[in-house]
Amino acid sequence: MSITELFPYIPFTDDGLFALVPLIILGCGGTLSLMLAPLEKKGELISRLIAMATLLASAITLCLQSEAQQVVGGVLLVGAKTSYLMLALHVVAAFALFLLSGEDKKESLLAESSPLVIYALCGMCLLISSHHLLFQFIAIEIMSLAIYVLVTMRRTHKSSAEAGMKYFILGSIASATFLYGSALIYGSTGFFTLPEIALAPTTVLKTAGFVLVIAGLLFKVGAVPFHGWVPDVYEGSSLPVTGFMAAAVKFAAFTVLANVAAAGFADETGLVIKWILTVAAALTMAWGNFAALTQRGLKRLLAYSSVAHTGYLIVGVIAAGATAGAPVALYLIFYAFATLGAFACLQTLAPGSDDVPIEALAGRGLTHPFTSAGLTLFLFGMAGIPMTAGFIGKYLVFGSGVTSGHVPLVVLGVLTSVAAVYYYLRIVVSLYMKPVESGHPAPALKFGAAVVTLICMATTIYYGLAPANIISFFEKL
Amino acid sequence: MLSLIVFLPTIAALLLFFIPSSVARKYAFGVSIASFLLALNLWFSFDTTSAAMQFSEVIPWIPTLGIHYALGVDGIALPLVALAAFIAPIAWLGTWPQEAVQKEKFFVACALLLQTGMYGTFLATDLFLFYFFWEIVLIPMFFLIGIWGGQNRIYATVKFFIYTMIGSLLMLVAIFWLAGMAKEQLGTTTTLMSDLAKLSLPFNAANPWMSPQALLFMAFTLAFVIKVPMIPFHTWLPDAHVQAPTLGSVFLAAVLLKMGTYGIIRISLPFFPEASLWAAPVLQALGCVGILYGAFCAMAQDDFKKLVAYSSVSHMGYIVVGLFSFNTIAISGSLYQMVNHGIASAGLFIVVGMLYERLHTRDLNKFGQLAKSTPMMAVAFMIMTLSSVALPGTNGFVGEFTILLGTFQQSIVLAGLCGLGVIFGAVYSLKAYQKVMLGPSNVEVHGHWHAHAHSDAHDDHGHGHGEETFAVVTHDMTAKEILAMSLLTVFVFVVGFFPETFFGASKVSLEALATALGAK
Repeated sequence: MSITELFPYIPFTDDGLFALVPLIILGCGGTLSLMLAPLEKKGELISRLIAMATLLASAITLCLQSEAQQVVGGVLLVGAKTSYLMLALHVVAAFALFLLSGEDKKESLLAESSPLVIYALCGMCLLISSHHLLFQFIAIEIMSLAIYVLVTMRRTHKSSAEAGMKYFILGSIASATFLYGSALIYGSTGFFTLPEIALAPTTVLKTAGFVLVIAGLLFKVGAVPFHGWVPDVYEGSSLPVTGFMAAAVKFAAFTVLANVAAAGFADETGLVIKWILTVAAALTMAWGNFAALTQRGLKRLLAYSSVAHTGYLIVGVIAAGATAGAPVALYLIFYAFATLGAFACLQTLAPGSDDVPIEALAGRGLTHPFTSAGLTLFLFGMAGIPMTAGFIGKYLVFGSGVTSGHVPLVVLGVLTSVAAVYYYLRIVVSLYMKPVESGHPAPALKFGAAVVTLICMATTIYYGLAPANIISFFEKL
Repeated sequence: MLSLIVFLPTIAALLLFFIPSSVARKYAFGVSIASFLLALNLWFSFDTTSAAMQFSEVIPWIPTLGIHYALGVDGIALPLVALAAFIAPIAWLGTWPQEAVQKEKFFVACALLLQTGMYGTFLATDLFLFYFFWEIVLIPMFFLIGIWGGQNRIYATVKFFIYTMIGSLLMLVAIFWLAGMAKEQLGTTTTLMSDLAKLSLPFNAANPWMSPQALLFMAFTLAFVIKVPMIPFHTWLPDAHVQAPTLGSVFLAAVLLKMGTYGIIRISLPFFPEASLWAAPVLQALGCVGILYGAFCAMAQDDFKKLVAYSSVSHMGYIVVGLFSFNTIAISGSLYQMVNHGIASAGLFIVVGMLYERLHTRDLNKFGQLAKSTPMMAVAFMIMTLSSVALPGTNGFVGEFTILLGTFQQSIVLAGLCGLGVIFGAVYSLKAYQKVMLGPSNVEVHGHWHAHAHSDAHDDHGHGHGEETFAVVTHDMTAKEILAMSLLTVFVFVVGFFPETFFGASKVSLEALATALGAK
């Protein structure tokens, strides 16, 4: 088979081109930012400003397109939903840039951090809209390569290099698994595009292909048993990068996991997928939550908590089955704000290079009332306490789980999340109920972190109290 | 009107930003008075001849999920709302500290939010909203115990939070399930209680464990009995009570525990009648064990506060027994007991708090002959004790007697066993009274608050204690405390002699509930 058969020439329409504009802007803006970053004077600042401008421009073009359409011959499906998800990712990326600006110079993240965030975002946007396995692979690689570098960037820290290597090697294996799976699917069905694959007859080869593709994606979202990299990478990266990964990478990877699983659920392959996902969800919820109980470092704790949230999200994916899965998308948005907000608070409360223990936050409720209140709110959100968006997300995901008949899985989910409540409370207890420890100097509130905390708090409370509009928006799609 | 009652404390808490810390407590007292007046207005405009939800406010909140912001009050919710509104000003007055607490504003904000949660739980007529307020209550209480509590406060508050959370998360799953069933049976997803009441929930008498109604019943009831707390889920309560600041203890005992029994009477019984009947023997047995076990534990305590906490376990046991007796009289008695225990336990916790504030101890052996120096407190404490042991003429008698009467019609053995609890209750309550107010102390303790007041006992200072006994001396009640205790006293006697004045409003609703349950 020749390459032209695989990728037949597709005539671009004007509309189709317009749908690609955000990606083009991101690509060009990122490159421009990258080229200006090494400037001797204020290179970092200029590169960051360009990155911001790129984000803004791309976001504006995103807002202009809402019509559902297929672009590039069905490779990309764009519409109101993808636009909304991409916009949320843009916001997350903007937050990451804000937080990066507040990083200590001694951290010596290279100036290229801003363009790398833009590149990663470009990959994520492509990933979200793509319904073609090969394009998904390419998008995953664009995203992941940028993230690998971001993780490894802290030159002064050994743990950073270790984390980067670990992530890179394991991530490559996952990518290879994904690619091999797509090859099997193509071999069996003759298609790379998901809608056509869903309609193709079931064969052993196709099922095997789906299993491999999903295994690759489970790695990216950090599900047990493919979660080994998560704590180390979270610990090794700088706080803004960790926050960006926890919020955005998971977001994009889950969206594509939901898309792929939905295609697989269409026929008998679905039984195998469902079985795999059910086991993965149960293990992930249980292991993530119970492992988090034993953590002392804040970043590792949040890493395991993020693993646990992956488990809840997989329940949502199973429940959605072959449908669009609004609960998963909403949970991802709400979780992104909560987790990024939490990392922004940590940047203020526990700055510095190493993973600090929970006790380092002791008494911060008095010295840093605003940030402590923020962190408390985000943790309550992740724990699923009412009045926060996290509760609405959990209500939607678990609710869809129950209505689709997965009661035991949901019961396991809520019971393990009691463990989660315990470890989140440990942080709150430390903030408000312990005296300040003398060994840890009180850090100053940074502008970027404050802005991110404030916006994330507002979002978390707003969607916690008035989620009606966003829910009906996603339900209608 | 109901929304105003629910959210007045929250609005007030937000306005705290503009209130100086020095008057925060007075401000909160004012808010609680305003709240009380609103509740009073509700009380007098309530139509006692109707069993339907009144003053209903139903606004779609999250339409796609069928979730409504729905409030309403009937004869079952009304006494509890009144209780919460009545207790709040008394709690502020009775626990007024001698010196400002640290982080006073945060303390006041927590207490105000707690009130919103309490009112909301009692007034919600949408299951989602009920859950929402039910959980909201946890957060201020978590901070109240954790920040302003005693030595072991962190352990206690985390235990309290986790315990309640286990129950309520399973309740959440049950809510999903009910909403899903509503979609199947009614065609729309809804969490309105009035809609969910129309569902037919299959109950399989041959294999009850796996039938949906039994599972739903268990999920809801577990959440409720943890809050009550019923044996064997009671272990969080003594810890939480002992560590909580007095104000927190008062709210916890007087109102928060009632949320559990209110949940049973509002949701478990009417929604799952067959499953309730099926599980009633077990729950009644546990309730009865709770009455006796709580009483025995209370007898063995040296810590005054722990004694009162275990007495709560014992008295709340009556309510569980009464509710699951499927007897009209006993169910009514349970509602009375909810309010009456709220009054008596609030009074007792305020007494404990007053003593701790003055003497910095809760050890019963360290008190003694306090009646000499604090006659007013002795009288107030006696009245609360008598109410707690259900002396005829006090409100406590109305509740416990009615429950026992109803239970007697159902099962003589059960009523007899529960009746033993009244006797044991008298034993430990009077023992506490005797040790604190009458009997001599063999340990010398000074009132820390008014140094000049302990001159009587001071002569022995520096000598070995040997066989000597001491009268503990301290200051009597302040004007605020007298006001708080006398309000409680008025309630104790008015309801004790004329129960209809307070519980007449509930009659129709209780009858409607009993008819629906097919109670005898």
